[in-house]
Amino acid sequence: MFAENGKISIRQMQALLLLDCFGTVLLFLPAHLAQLAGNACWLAALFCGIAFALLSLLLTTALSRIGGRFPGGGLAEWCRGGLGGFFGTLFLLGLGIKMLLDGAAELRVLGALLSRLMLPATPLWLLLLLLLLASGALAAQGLEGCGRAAEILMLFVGVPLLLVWMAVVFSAEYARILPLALPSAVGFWQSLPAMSIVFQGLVFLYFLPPDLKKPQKMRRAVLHSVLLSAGIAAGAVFFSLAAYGAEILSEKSIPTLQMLERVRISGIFLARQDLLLLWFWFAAGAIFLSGTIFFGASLGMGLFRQGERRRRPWRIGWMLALFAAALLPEEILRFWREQAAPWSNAVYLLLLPLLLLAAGKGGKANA
Amino acid sequence: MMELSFELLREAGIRLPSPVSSTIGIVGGIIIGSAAVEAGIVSPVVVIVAALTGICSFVIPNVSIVSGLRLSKYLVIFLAAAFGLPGVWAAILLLLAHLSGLVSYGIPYLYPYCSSSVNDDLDWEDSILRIPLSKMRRRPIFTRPEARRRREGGA
Repeated sequence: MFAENGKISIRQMQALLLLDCFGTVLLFLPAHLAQLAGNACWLAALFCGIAFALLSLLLTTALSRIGGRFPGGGLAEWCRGGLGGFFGTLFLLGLGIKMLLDGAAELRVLGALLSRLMLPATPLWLLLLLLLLASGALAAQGLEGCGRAAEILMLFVGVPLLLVWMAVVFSAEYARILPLALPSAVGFWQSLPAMSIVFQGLVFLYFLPPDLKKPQKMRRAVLHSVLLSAGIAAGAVFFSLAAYGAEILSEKSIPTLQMLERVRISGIFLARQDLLLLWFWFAAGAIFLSGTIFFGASLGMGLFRQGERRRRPWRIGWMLALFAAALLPEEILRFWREQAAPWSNAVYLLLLPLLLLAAGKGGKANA
Repeated sequence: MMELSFELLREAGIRLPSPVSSTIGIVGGIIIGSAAVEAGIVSPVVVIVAALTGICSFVIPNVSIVSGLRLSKYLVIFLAAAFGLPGVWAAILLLLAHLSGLVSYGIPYLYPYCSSSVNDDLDWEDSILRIPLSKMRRRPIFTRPEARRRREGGA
């Protein structure tokens, strides 16, 4: 019936994945894509999303293949066994650095947003601590606890957001979408790095197969979730474009939230419902950060071949590391997010799955 | 401060004989409350919120839940006072994280709002909204898993 072994159901995995894909980047994405692809930005987002859905398929296929060759193992065993000790450890260390900087960038952006929009007088480090406190509490409940929380958050956070977006649907001016045009090849290639940040949470899939109740259903469920995320990201870009037009949209700072200011619901008691909806990103950010802390601890334990009882010190260590990294100068984190993170996503969502796929195949042939 | 005063009145009311406890309620609730407002120590809205919170705590029939909420509300108040709306969000997440981790006799504390897929979402029928008893043909998953179908009459 209910597993008390820390394993999560497919639905919980999907909820976690969806919330991981709803990072703060979705707030800036429409403006960024409008600068890169103009009127075709929403189609660029859709096509890039489909490309990442295919990458997720590659990743899950590679994981099932390598998992079949090393049953009962985790990412550390797969990397070391499939790629050799040196290269395996190198990829694991790189993944650790990537997760740390991705998490730190997300934490910093979310903290800066809260500071700018809601609490300008509160020191940034205090807001970062608050976010880390919530994320650390989620991570402390283990994967099963996080999965349950994500299921509930999807329901109580996602539904109000969808309702407001539906209100935007009726107030948007769709003539601004016209003329319909396919994104140019250059626009598509330039949009890919921006969209890769949306799907940076896919690297958590490396750690998930041993913790799933039904890992055989993972491939289809991940594909569905990524396609849904792609659709929602493209929808956010589409409605932002319909609300502002490409020219004004490219100058907006956080259009996904700003377009909610246009919605006037009669009898509403809040003047700034867009700020209330920032709650969605707060929750999604906390889930992403809790995943970084939890899976970061798993990575550390795998790297040093330690048992489950070492998870707590690793978890605390990751929280401290995230806090320290989030306080790095803004230019460094911006450089990471805009320049380096897309390359790291290419390595861990394309190159490593291909290598693991080849390693898994080799193992089967040998067997 | 108002919450602490309310807790004090409640504890005093429990320990005193019923005629005196009602006097304590009147003295505390009306006289001290209005005096505090007139003295400018608290605003009238705070008194209303504290009173409503206190009354709402009696609506929940489960004493253990109320005791837990009585303690955890101070965390929410502290975070809300320190950080405003983001503090409330953080407090909600902290509470959700805590409740998500709780399991009672093998059943998640927040079931069926989470993990309901184990029973194909059938247990949603007896949650926030309850469908008519005559339509509830299956027992909840945590009672008699070997005999899921209810007997005639809903037992």
